[in-house]
Amino acid sequence: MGWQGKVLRVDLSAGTVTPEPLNMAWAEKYMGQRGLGTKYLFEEVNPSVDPLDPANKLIFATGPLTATGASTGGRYSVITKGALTGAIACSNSGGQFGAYLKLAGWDMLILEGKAPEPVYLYIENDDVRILPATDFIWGETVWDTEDQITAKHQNPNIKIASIGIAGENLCRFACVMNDRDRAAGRSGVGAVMGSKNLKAIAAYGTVGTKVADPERFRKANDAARAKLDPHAARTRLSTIGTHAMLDVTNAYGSVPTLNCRAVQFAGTDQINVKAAHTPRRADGKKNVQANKACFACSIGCGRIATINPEHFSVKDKPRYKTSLGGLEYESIYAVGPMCGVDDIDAATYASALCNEHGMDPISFGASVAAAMELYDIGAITKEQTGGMALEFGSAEALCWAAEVTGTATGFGKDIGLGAKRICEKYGHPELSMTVKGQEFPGYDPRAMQGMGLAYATSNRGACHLRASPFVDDFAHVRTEGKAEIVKKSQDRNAAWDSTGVCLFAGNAWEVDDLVAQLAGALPGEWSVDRFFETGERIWNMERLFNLRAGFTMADDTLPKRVMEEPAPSGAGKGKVAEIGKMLPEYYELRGWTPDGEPTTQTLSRLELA
Amino acid sequence: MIKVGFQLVSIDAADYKGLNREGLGDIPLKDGGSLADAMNMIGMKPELGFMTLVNGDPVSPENRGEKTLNDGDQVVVFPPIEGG
Repeated sequence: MGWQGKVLRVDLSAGTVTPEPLNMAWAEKYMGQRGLGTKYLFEEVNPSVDPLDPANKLIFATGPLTATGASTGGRYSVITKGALTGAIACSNSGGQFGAYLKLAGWDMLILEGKAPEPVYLYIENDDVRILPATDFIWGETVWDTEDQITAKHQNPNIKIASIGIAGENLCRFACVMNDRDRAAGRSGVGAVMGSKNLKAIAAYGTVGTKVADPERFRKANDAARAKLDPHAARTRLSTIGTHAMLDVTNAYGSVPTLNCRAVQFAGTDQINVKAAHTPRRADGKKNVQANKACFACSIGCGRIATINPEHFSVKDKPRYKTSLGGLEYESIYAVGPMCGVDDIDAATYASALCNEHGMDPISFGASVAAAMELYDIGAITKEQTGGMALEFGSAEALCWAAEVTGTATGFGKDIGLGAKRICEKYGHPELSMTVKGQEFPGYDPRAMQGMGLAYATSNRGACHLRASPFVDDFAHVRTEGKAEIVKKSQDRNAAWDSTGVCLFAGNAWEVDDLVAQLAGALPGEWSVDRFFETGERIWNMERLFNLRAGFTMADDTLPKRVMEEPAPSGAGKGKVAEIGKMLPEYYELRGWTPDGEPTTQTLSRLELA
Repeated sequence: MIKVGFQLVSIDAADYKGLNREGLGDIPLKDGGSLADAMNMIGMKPELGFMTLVNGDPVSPENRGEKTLNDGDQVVVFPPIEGG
């Protein structure tokens, strides 16, 4: 009935696997994926636990629409207390893995404790085994891990989520990777997996899924698909991808550049979509070779790319002279303008290494940018870097940083701390462009005031996916009205991320279109009001987790630089991010006290009391 | 008669008139013409959800009819992309 009704609990310390029924009362209130996974974490983990302590848990959760045939319905989320932030972490990924986990009969995996030796988890329907990873895949890259597990189990259809060398070494922004280049990317969920000595989860399933009312679901799904497929946003994402955003933010003056010293990047033409689609002189090939879709997706926003075979980064490295996961907006922003690098091959190489070693490219790029500014002001020297001139704009430095951070070598261990910790270590915490310890995505909050509020109030730290103020932000540089837009879209996205469907379908669908599918897949009635209330409940539960972890309203803020240094150009020229003007209204709309705590009435209304 | 510069960002220029393949062009416009008039000149409906900048400043869809353009103004149009 949408849900499989089964949770797999894995005690890595004891080496046991135990199936248990899904708590259906919780499922009806939190749906699945982000909401339901967070509910389990909220009930089972002390929020004050150290994220890397065995008492923290790591939850892989699918949604009720995952693998049902719903368009873009292949998503899963990894929920834990984040190693980067110490806040609630929920990182969402596509690809194929989540669907296969659900097809094996499981709504959710709860991973507890810490294995005495490195292991991986093998799941084939009800056959679940904890297997040794030492002398097999421990120490291997994400790509080699996938290849070796697939070969060992003699099943080309097996789908794998794993950590790379970065996760094994507890890089604070390590991802959980799946299907080579898809990532549950943010907040350091891969470091938590590494702390548990868990290298990978391999899933293959033939159980299938069921929905409550197949005919109603089919009609709703057909209608949604008919709306999605011809939509201009789908065509745009398919043909030019999210990479296209770079020209937009650059034109608008909201692409974070040189660690937010600037908001427009002179080298954009060298690394934008047009550059990626222009044949190279060296081999006549384009950077972008094709697009790529996740499970049940008709959008296909992913990119497949190649690097110029004569580029310095890949000379004598045949491993990278093949098709690789390509640039998306967030990765190109972070390794491009944020670091001042205008070399598309270096950017593609650095991004590929993030996939190979399992690092979040947003946090990686922004952490390198912070390190570059520390180098620029003399707080870091060649003594620390081992001789590398870590200068803004240096493609060589960027590629080197990806290599040493991904493999936790030398100064790479410092970069792997993330921007907040490396800036603190070298005496300049004000240079960290982070919220709650998580690095900025690719939108400067001086021209995009709504995004600033979204960053400041995001429960997982700076994030562009927790709210959707884009359209109003691109139309008005103002603070008025942003609180309501941010609050409403936070609730929407929290519910959306709990269904198993991709947020990008929301470029074409209204909430009604998704609710119609939920109503066909799940028992009981679903309405738009119930959907938003579910999202609001999830948002408040995440907030409660953070409050109990020690966060306060003082953490609902932005770096000093964007609040005090006016944007030097673009639509927001002369403006700073004005969080103070928006936050009180936001708290009031949320039904929180002026100190940012949910009131008793709010908790009672949302059945959280 | 005045001329205003147009730049389409992440929009296929082939769908519109008076612009080159790069989405760039100077569009003639009557004196006192508005941003909405200029968009109509290239065959773009002003009410469509595209975002617009005039000399770097955003102009919201509801204000395009009232936004008077001057000779040499630079108009940038881009789609309402979300996420990334």
